[in-house]
Amino acid sequence: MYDQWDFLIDWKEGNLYVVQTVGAFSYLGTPTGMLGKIYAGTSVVHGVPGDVSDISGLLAGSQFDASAEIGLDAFAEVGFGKGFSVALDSEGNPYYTLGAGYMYTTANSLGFGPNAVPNAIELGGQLGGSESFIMWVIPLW
Amino acid sequence: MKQKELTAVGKIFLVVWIVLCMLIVWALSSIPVYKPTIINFTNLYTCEKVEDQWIAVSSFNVGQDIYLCGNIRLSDSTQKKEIQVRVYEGERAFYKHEIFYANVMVSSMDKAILVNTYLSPGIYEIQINSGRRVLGVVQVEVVSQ
Repeated sequence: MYDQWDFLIDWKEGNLYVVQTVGAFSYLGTPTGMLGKIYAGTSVVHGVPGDVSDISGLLAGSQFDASAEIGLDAFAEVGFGKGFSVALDSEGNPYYTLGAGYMYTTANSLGFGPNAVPNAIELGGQLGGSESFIMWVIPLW
Repeated sequence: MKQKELTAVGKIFLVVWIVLCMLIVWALSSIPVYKPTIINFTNLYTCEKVEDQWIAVSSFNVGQDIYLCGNIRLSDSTQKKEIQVRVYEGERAFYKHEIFYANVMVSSMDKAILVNTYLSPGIYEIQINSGRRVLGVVQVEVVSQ
């Protein structure tokens, strides 16, 4: 399970969207005794139609997530991860818009957490699903 | 030694992260939580205007204006909201892309929405979205005159 907060800026309209995403995933990789992790990083949302001024309805909803991580692991792991999420519509289909393409998010993150099974090098991937909620919309300019 | 270095890096990262979170929570606490304007578009059907009345029609001639009728309700009736109109050739499927897309502003007062495109003879499905939420789907036939 994870709880992620994104601070997304709509550069065209000048709004900051604070988005909470909760999700679950399954892990494949080197043995891990991860006891929890915190992470921070950057995200870029692709495929948002340029003619929509209020994108809150596009940011909220469910996603299919995939991510990979490589890290140094000696009881405490510091890892670099790359994530990829495909936005789904309310019928569970990938969200596509003519001219904008498929809507998806790419992310880079740096994470830290205690690990009970040290491997020196940690390699892993995650697959899962998540749901996003708009918490705040703040006009910046 | 490596473990100590890793733990030190982790501690710095943890402190920076917690301070950042506290600053963000403090900054956001004074802002009211976002309440979206919810749109519902029920009883969706294709229609045409005949003597100031909107009449349900499922088959249109080539070049004829196609309108979408139904009950448009916004949670805040004073607001306007963007919806997205998509036209698919034949039946929709997850691997099919629309042949027409438009972003349209609507209000609770609107009775009909023009599907502003030319469609050649065939069967089409028109989907209405509010963001990622599918509000409705209707099938329409276009026939040659």
